[in-house]
Amino acid sequence: MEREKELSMTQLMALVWLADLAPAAQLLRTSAEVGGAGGWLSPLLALPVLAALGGLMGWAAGREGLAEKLRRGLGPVLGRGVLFLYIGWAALLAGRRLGQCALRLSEGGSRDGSAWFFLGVMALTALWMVRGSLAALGRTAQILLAILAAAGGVVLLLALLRTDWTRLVPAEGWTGRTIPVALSAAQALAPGLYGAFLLNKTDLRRGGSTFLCWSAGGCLMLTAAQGIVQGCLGAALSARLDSPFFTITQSVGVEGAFQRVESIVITIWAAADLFFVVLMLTAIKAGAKRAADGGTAGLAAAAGITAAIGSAVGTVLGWPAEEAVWTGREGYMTLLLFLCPVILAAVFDKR
Amino acid sequence: MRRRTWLLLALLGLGMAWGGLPRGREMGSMALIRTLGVDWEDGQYVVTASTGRRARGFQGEEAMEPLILSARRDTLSAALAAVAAGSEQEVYFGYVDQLLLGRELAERGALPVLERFIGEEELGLGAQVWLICGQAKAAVTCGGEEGAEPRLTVLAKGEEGSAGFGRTVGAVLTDLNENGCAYVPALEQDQRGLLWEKGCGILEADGLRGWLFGAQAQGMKLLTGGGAGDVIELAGGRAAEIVGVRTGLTWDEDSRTMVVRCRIALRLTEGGAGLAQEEREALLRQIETLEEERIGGTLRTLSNWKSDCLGLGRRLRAEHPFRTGGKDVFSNSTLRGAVQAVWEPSG
Repeated sequence: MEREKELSMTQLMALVWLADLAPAAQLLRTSAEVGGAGGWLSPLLALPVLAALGGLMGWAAGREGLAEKLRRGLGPVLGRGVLFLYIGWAALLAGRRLGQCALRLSEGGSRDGSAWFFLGVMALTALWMVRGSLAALGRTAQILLAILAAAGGVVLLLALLRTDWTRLVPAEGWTGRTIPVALSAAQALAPGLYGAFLLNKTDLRRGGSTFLCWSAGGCLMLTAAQGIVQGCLGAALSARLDSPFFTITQSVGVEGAFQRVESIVITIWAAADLFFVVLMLTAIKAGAKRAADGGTAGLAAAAGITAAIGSAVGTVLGWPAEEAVWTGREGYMTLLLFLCPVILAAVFDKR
Repeated sequence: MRRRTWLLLALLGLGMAWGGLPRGREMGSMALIRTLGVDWEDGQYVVTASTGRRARGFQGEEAMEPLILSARRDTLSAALAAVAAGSEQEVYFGYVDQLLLGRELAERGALPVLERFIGEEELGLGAQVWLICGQAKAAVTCGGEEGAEPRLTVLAKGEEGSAGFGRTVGAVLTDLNENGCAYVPALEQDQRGLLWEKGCGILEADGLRGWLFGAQAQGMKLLTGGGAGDVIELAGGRAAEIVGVRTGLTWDEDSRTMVVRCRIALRLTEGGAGLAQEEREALLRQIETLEEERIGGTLRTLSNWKSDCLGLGRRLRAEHPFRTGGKDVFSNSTLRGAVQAVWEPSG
């Protein structure tokens, strides 16, 4: 039975981490703002939170998937309502990510390119990718994750030479800020929890240990990366830059071999943004399917409309002028959203 | 398949309708600014930009004079915009490698100029920054056909006798944020217009704390772990070249003294023939005394100014978190330099 599953647990985790690399590139800004010199530790501190949430998702979703569980556990009316909420929220996050990525691409590559062009291309590519098989998506995610890790790794290795480790020592009395710092990373990486919608299509043999290994490994790597970036820029400057990681890419290079790699890295990083959107769309697809199941055709249309409105609102709000309204808050909402209904659904599920 | 083609066509159509398709740009048709100078004169910002030597033709065989643009406005943004507007070609700031700040601007406060590089679409934090003991405008326009950029690159990298004292905008901003002040290498022009090293200036958020010239600048170089390539002239026509510098920091809790330890590796480049081992050792002691005086002078000045531009207090707190006590360890401690000179094994 398990052999018919489209994704392996490794592929699902690769998909989730690839998607999470998009917000991770901007994470240090928030973490340094909240935690000062201890900000770089945020992914490590968030690991228990993320592992607990992931474990909860696995327990709640079981082999049937989160969408099925929500609908059955909360009943047809409330269950569908909650699914619609998830769909709208995922679309909002996807739209916001699309908008930000399009702007970054148009700024990073050339001033002549319009952000709308990149937005359109990214959106259509994501929609096209979601139409294909999940297995192909999983394999692509594995390959792209390796490419992004290699590119990021080279940049960070070169930056390692300029790292001043004394900039990583948190100030006295910093321990009081541990929880906000942990949450700053947990909320940024929370969209990865939408991967729980794909659990019914994933081969879950040794799923728990694979999940834990990937979560721990990912958080540790991210912590090391943030340590290098903060060691170069310091916490105060990191908190003021849109993406400290991309700033680092501006100033690394090997004399005579290659210089000015930021355009290349920004372009490669668009793959992470693309997969963020793809993960959201896949979750929306799974959610909409369960929401419309056994209902009228109007329900499917309503799910589509919810997703469309959500993504449009997200895109508009993702434009930088409105950034002050958004920074960080949607992440905490995502955490809350995944906590309450999922626990309720799991508890009330009679079967 | 047909549907995908339709989608693609629709996208291209939309892109064209919005004018949103990216257009190719020829590097040759743009003015790529390499050196940017900012002065403060009579209550206004004066921005001067130079492209350096430009090349034209298939393999860059045709050289063109540097394009120099300058504008004076009340605000930095307006001055930069006026510079960009003053050229027939499209001006691109994405390749600015050198930022020169004039003396008056540094005294008034260079932070607004440096902060301009944060979150700026084109200007990057990797540009080298220099203080000019005079006007930045004159420095940007020097260098004739080649422009100022080649000379600045030489000075920053430490080639041809210069000791390599370059600092980037990012490093200076980080120091300003972390230490409250930052050292920035200073340059001055000789009568021919050529740029020379002239110690460094200590920048603070709201102005210039002071300059370190001569022996103090030499001391500063050693304290930052630089100075390799510098030649020390000794009595009897002898000369020793610094080949490597390593610094460390120790803390004496009882006397509350910070000791900056400097290990200098040297090579005797002149007058070394036939010297006995004892004489070579005596030369080392001589160099140690000389360099200790230099470092000591620099540390005394920094201590008087309460300018921890080397982040010594931060380093100490990181290395001895429970023994240094409090944030103001730098201003509450005595500073001392200790130099250990050694001959490079082969020399």
